[in-house]
Amino acid sequence: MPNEFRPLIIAFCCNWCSYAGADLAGTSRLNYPSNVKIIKVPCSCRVDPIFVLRAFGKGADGVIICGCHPGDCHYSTGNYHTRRRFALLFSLLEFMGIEAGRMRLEWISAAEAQKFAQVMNEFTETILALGPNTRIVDIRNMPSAEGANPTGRPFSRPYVYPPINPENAPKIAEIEAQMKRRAVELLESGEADRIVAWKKSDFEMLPEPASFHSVESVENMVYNRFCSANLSKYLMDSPWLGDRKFEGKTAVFLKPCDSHSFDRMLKEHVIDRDKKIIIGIGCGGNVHVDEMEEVGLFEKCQVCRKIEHAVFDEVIGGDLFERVAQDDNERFDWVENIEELSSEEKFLYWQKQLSKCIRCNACRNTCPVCNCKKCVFSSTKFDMAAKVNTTDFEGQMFHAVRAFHVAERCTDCGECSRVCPQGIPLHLLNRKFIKEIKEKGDEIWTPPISP
Amino acid sequence: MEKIGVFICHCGSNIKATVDADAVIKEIRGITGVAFAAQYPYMCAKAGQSLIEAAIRDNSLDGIVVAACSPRMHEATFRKVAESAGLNPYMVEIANIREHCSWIHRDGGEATVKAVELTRAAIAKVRLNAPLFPEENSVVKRALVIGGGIAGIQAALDIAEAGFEVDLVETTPSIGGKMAQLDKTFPTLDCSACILTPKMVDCASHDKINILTYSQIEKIEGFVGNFTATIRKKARSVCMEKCTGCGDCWNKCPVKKIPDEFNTGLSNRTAIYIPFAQALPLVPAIDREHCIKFKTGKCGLCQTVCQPGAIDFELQDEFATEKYGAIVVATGFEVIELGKFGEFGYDNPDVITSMEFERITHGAGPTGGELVRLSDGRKPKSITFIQCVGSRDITERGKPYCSKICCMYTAKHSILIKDKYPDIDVNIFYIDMRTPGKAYDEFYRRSEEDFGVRYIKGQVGRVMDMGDHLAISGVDLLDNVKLELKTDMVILATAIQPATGIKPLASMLSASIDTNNFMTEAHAKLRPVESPTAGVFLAGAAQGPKDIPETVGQAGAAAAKVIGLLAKDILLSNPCTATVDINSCNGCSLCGLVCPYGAISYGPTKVDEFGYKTLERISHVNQALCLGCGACVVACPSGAMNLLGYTNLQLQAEVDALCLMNSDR
Repeated sequence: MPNEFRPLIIAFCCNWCSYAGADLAGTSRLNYPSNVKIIKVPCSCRVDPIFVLRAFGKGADGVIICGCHPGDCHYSTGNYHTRRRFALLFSLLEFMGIEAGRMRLEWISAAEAQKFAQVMNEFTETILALGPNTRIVDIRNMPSAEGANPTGRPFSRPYVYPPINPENAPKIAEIEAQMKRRAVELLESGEADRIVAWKKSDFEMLPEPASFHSVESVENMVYNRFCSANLSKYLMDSPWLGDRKFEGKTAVFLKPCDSHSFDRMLKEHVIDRDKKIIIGIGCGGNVHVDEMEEVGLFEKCQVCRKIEHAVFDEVIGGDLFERVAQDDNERFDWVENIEELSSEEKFLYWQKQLSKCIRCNACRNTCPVCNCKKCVFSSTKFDMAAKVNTTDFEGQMFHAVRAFHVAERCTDCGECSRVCPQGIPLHLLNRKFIKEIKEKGDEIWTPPISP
Repeated sequence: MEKIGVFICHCGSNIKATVDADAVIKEIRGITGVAFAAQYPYMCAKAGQSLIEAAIRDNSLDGIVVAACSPRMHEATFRKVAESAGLNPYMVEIANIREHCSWIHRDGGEATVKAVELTRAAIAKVRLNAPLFPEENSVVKRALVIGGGIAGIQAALDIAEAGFEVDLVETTPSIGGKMAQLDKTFPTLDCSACILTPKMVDCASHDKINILTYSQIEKIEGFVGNFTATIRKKARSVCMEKCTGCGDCWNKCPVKKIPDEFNTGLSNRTAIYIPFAQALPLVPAIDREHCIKFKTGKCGLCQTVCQPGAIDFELQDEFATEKYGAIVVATGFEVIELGKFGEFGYDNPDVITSMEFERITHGAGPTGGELVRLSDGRKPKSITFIQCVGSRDITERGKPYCSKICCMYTAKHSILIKDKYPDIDVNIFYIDMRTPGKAYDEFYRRSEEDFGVRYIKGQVGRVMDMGDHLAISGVDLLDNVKLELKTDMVILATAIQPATGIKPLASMLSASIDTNNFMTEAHAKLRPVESPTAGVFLAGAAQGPKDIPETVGQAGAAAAKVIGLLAKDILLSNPCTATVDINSCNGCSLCGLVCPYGAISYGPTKVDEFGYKTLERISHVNQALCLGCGACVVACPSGAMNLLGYTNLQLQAEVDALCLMNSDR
C-alpha cells in the first residue's frame, strides 16, 4: 500500500536509565513497532528543545523524551531541568496548535523494559490516530484565503483599546519637567556623561529613544504617553546608540516595568551597574499608535498591576499609575481566550499570525532579555545551525525558539508585540509561559534548581 | 573527504536471523563517506576485532561504525580496537541493531529497514566526531578532613592507616565532637568516652595525621586531586609546643563565670580553658572575649603561674595554605533552638534537652553524675520524656525530617534511670517508635518490658510549672483519653540540624546542600558517601541524621573512597565534557545556574573577533569537574556551550538521518 501512513517516531533516551530500559526490552524480546528510533543522550537534560522542533520540522510524526525517574538522575538534577523545559515547550507547542499527542515525556528506569515497550506501543497508536505531522512545517505558510477558519467563529476576542485617563496628563507633564531639570543637573555637575531618554521626533506620537550628551540637547527630551520604548535594552554596549563601548557614566529614565527588565539584565551581567544612574519615573500608561492614529491604552498597561520599581537610585513621580488590575490573572485573559480554541483553530490562528512575519528581527532587537551580544540566529558560524534551524530555513520556528530562549526570564514588558511591524501578538507566547509557570508551580518547579 | 568503515555484526543468529545483513551493506555502501563495509558473525570475537583493526589500517579509515549490540555492552571493546589500530577511540560509534532492532521486531523486512536507518544515523554522527583526549591531572597525596568528631576521627584514622597524610581540622579547641559529651551509648551501654578517647589518642599520636584544632576553613579552591585550602588557625594565646597541660593556668584564672559549652551551659568554665578533661590536644585556649587581660590589659595571672612560659598574649591568627587531593566533610550536627516551642516550658530549669540530660547523668558532668532537678537539687520522683520536639514537624519552627537517633537515646536514658533508680517513674510520650538497627528493637523492648518504662503514644500539648512539680497535659492516642500527669522533670528529644557554617562551607566546595541544609550525596542509593562534586566526600550527620555505628560506617566508606582516589597518580578526565566557544559566549551565567558540579566559572577572557580584541566575561568549564550531562549546553541561548561527544551538530545529524525517510513529505 503506497499511501499507508508509517509514522516516524524519534525517542531520545538517557544513557543511564531509559536507554538501558530499552536494551532490557530487547533482551526480554518484548515487541514495539519499528517506527520508533532511539537516539542516545547522556542525560535527558541534553535534549535541546531545538532537536524536538528539528525532528518535527524534518518530518517526524512524534517525539518522545525518556529519562530517569525524578530523584534518580545519574547527574542528580538533570531530569528536573528536562521536566521544566519540556513542560514549557509542550505547553507552547500545544498553544500554537501542534497536537499535544505528538510529544511526550516519560520516566523509564533501566528495569522498566515492560513500561518502555508499553509506552512505545501506546505512543505509536496515538500518532497513528493523529496522522502525519504537517503543522510545524506549515506554520509559516500563508493560509489560503478561503476556508482559513472553517469554524466560522472568530479566533479570539478582538482586543479593545481602552482610552487613557486624561486626569494624568498634567502629572505626566510635571514628570517631564522634572526629568529635564534633573538631566541638566546631572550633565552640568558631570555626574553623568550622557542621559538615555526619549527625544522629540517629527511626529508627537513617535518619540525616539535617544542619548543626550549636552545640556543644550536636553531641550529635545520628551516624556509623554507615547514613550513606550523600554530603555533598558539601550543600556547594553549597544550598536544602536553608536557607542559600542560607552566608557562614561550613563543616567537613564526607567518606567516601573522597564526597571524589571533592567534588573533581569543586571542579573545576566550585560550591564555594568556601577556606570549607570537609574532614575525611576512614574508611568501614566502608554498609548498604542496605529497608522499614525492614537488608538488607546496598550494591553500591557490595561492589565498592569501597579508594579514597583525593581532597581533605582532615585524616583520621580513614583506614585503615578494609569490603572491597576485587580488581579494578576487579568493579564492571562487573552492567553485563555486562545487556549479555549480547538487545536486546529489554535494552529490556524497562529498560522495566520506567523505567516505575516517578515523576519525583521525587531522583536529580538528590542527584547531586554534577548540580550545575547552575539545572537545565535545571526551567527556566521556553520555549526550554530544546529541550535537554530528546525528545517532548512532558520525562520521556521523562530518565534517558538525565541520565546523558549527567554522563558522564565521574560519580564512581560510587551515590547516584542509593540515593535512588530506586522502586528503579531508575540508577547502572548511568553505570557503563556508565565501562566504555565504560575499554574504548574510546585509540581514542575520543585525542587528549585537555581538559587 | 572522510573515510568511514562500517562493520555489521551478525551476533551469531541474534541479528542475522531477522536483519538481512547483505541488504544493509548494500544500502549503506551508497552513503556519503562510507569507504568500507564488512560483515562478520561475531565482531566482538578476536577474529572480528582483527578484521576491524586490519580494515582501519589498510583503508586508513578515520571513523568507524559498528552495527551490533548495545553500546553499553561493547562500546569500550571497539574503542580499544580502534585505539590499537591507531585511531582515536572516540572516532567509534555503535548502531544498536540487536537490543533496539533484531530482538524487538519479528518482521525481517521492517527490522532490516530499521537497521539501515540506525546505521545511517550512526554514520551521520561519526562523520562529525572529532578525536578526543582525556586530560591528565596529578593527584596530591594528602586528604583534608573537616570536623573532628567521631566521623572525622574515623575517616582520618582510616586514610592515615593506608599511608596518606591527613589534616584534621576542628573549630573547637579539642577533637572529640558530640560523642565526647555523651555518657553511655546505645544499644550496648558502653561508656562513650571509653570507646572514643582511645581513637582520639590514636589520632593524635598517628604520624600521618596532623590535627588542627581551633581552626577554620577560610577558602577552598581547585578540583578533584588538586584542592587548595586556606585554614585559619585561631590564636590560642598558648604556645602548643611549650604547654604541658598541667592545669595551673585554668585553676588560677579569676574569670570563672563563663557558661561551659561542653556542659551545655549547665556549669561554668574559666577564660583560659580546656573543653573537657580528656581534651586532645591537652592545651588550653584563651577565650579572648572574656579574658580580663584582653579586655582591660590587666591580669595576666595565667602567664605568671605558667612554669614552661607557654602563655603568649601576642599570638595572632595564622593562615596555612595547603594542597589536598580529597576532602571529607564531617561537620556533624547541633540541636535546634527551642525558643519557638513555648508549650514545653523550656525556660524552666527542670525542662531540659536530651543533650543536657546526657551531661547530667555523666560522671564528669555538672552534677557529678547525680540525677537531680536543676531547680532545687532534689532527686526527681518522676521523669517524663517527650519525643519528636521539632522533628517531623512541618511547621516553620520545626524540621520536616525524623532526627533518627531520639527514639533510641530516649530508650537508653530510660534504662539508665531505671537501672540506677528503680523507684523513679519514667513516662515517654512518642509519636512512633522507630528502632530499626541491629539489636535496637530488643533494646527498646527491654526498657518497656524489663524496666517498666511507660510508653504513651501521643503528643504533649503543654508543660506547666506548678511550683514544686510540673504538670503535663497530653493525649494517649491508643486509649483515646486526655492525660494530666504530674512529673518532676521533663526531657525533650530535641531535633538535630546540620552544624552552623555548613552553608558557606558547601558553597566554598561547590557542593550542594538540600532544603534542610544537609550535604547532598551524589546519588541517594549508589553514591551515598560522595558529594556531587568530585573529590568531596561525606561522613556522619553532615549528610543526614545518623547514629554512631552508621557514622563510623560512613566515615570508613568515605575513607575508602578517598584512599581509592589518592592511590592514583594521575586522574584521567572524561573527555566528553562541556566546552565553551569564547567567541559566542555572552557570560550571562545561565549555564552556571544549572551545573550540578560547580564546574563552570566566569572571568574576563581576551576575545579576538575579526581582529576586534576585547576583554569579555566568558564562562569557563573545569574539565576535571564536568561529568558531561549537557544541562548547560541546552541552557545556553547563544549556542556557545557544546558537549564533546554529543555536540549540537552531531545530535542534529542523527535526527536528520532518522528523518530522511520522511524528508520528501
